[in-house]
Amino acid sequence: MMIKNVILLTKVSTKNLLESMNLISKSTGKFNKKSTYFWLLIIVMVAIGILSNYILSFLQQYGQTGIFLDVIFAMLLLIMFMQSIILSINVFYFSKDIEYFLPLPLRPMELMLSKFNTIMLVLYGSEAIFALIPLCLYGTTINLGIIYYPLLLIALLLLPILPTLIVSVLSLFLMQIMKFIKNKNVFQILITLLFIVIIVVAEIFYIKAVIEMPNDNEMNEEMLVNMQNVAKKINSSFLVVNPLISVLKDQNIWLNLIKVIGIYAIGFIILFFIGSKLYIKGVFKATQYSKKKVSKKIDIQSSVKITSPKVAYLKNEFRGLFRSPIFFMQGIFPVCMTMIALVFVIVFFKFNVIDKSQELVQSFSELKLNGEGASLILIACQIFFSFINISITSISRQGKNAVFMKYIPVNLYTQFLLKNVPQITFSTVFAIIIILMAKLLFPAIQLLDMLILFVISMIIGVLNSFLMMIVDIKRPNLDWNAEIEVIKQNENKLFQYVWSIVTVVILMYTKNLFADNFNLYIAYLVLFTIFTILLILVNVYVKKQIDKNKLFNKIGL
Amino acid sequence: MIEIKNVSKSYKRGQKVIDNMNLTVNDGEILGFLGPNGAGKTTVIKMMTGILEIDDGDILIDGESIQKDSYKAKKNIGLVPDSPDMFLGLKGIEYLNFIGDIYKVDKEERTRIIQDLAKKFDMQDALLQKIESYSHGMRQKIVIMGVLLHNPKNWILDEPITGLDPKAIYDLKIIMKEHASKSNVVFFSTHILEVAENLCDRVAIINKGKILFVGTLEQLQKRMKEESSLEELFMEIVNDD
Repeated sequence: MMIKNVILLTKVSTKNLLESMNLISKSTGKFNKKSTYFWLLIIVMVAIGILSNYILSFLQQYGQTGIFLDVIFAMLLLIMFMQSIILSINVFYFSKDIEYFLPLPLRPMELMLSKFNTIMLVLYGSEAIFALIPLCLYGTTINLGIIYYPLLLIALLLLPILPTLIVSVLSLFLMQIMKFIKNKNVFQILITLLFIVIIVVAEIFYIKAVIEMPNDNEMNEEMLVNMQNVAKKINSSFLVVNPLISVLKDQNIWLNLIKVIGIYAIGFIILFFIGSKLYIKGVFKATQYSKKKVSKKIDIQSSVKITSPKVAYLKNEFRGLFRSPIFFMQGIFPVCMTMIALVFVIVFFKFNVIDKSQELVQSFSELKLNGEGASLILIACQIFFSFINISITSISRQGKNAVFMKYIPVNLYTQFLLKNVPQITFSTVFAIIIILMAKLLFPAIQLLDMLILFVISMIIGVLNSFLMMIVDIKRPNLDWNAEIEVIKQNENKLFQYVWSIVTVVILMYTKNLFADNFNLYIAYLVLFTIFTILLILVNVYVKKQIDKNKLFNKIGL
Repeated sequence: MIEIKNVSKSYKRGQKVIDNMNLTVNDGEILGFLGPNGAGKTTVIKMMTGILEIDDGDILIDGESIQKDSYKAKKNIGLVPDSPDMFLGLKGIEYLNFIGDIYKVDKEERTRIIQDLAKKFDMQDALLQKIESYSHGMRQKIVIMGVLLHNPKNWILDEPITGLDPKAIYDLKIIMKEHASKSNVVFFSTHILEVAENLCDRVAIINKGKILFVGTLEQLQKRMKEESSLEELFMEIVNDD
């Protein structure tokens, strides 16, 4: 009965997920090939495939294709840990649907396992996008037999269980300290911070290990072997990963599979044992705290503050983003952490590696910026912009409230611009940091170059923000029950991936035009012109759509 | 004054959910908008407030077209939507300040109105709490307070009574009467016929996208059966359709 209920709940979640992505036709119940998302998904997967193919060919030159498996699994693990950390506390304890489930005749364990499965589904989605094609390509590149593919499927089905299990058990324990915390929002952010600190510390050790590798340019092969060793070290820390890799390498398949299943069996026994003692207590605590009211007398005289409508609107946009922990954690928190990690790596590399070697100091200082370098800096900016999930959820985050924007006396174009400000603000900060980091590494970059790069990166950032907001306005997800769905079930993110690919292609293509003797300022002018024209076209489109009452017509239906 | 002129709306081609509707709500009047579920009440309210596009016809708010000059029209509208789950992450006072800023209510007036309404709706202790911690009734109250704060000439309320406690219903009815008595318009949809019977100057009954009746209760009784309650008349008129 228990398994039946868990399967039922999981089926409902899966169906909801697929229907929300329009991947399953509601009328026929079959795969919907007309879905835009289906095709976008294909495009993103193909792009990842091309990149993987490029990496595999590179590795093949050195006869080191084996590294691919270790590195892909290590990266997948890191991605999945990060995702399950961000999801776990909200899904298990703070999602709105918990209150709908509580009155149902479900056992606590059924509820917990259905929540467990929700996280697993998201991780399977990530695997499908990021790992399926690269690992299939790996199989074809080194001509593995047909048996590799069913084994790959088994490995991919088993892998996400590990991060979900570990993070779930930790969440159960961490929830117990909630009695010391009065504010559930602060609690959610603190817990996530704690988790992230653990990940960042692990990352620092990883980076340190990589930096300790020999720096000689001629030691590419040795570098690759060292990289593999680091990846192996990470993988061996998580008991099931190396056995799964061994399964794919056709080494003791049955023994390794039994080993993995055995470890999971122990893991689930621990989860069941702790879950039966702690889960429902935690759920009650969470629902109780979310209802807790602080009764305070208000001094209305001093609480009334006047601001202009535009500033008030903007303040409200920022408030909405920061007040909901899940929006904050999914919208900007990961990208901030990634940026901090990047700054850390570059600063560490600069002062602990470059500055300690006279030769390196000289070679880095002599490197002058060329068209290729400028394009790479702009590509880095675009990649960071694409991680910011603010514009792409700006309408969806409002849920049914979104209708508000249509009946207030504030021009819709003005609202469109104001809603873009948070994403553009973060893009500006990231662009400045990236350019400063480039300057730190390559001191020869001139101030004028930095200024020009900043201007172009901002045009790219504004264009990215406008486009993603148009996507969210045209395809908003307003009927959500849990905040988590706004981003995790947000298929619009695929548009962001596609647009990033387009931008990178534009930058890469123009990079190829810029030969070493090509005037850098003409290169800047070309990039500036391309992105400015695109931005003007998008802006004209927005204005025309608003004039025709077409842009916001999906809101308020 | 609100004028709905030959308004039609379809969600699917050929299936009109609102069919050539005409209705005028005069200044100083409370009009109850009645109809069964799915009759088209919310669609009409959405068109009146600029949320939905009008396919044919026009709606004028104090003479300004909601389609052609929506900015001016919207300045004269205060909407209480059917779902009061608005801006749950904001504290009550932050929400009121936000609305005050959007509608440019000056500090003195804002302070006075908030003090007044907080007392009237018994919300003094709740204004520093986040709206997400409010009960349904309290959420309804804060949204109503937001509308009253900018004191629009035309009040449009979609099912405003639902979820309110008896005292709040009583207070709201008084406020609606006060508002109409100052030559303003109160247009509200409701399922609670008793409220409509006691409160409205006129009622409009809508079914399947068409207005079946507009007038006073007395006119309705004259047309149908004398000495019948609004509930009986409503059932008769809707069933006849």
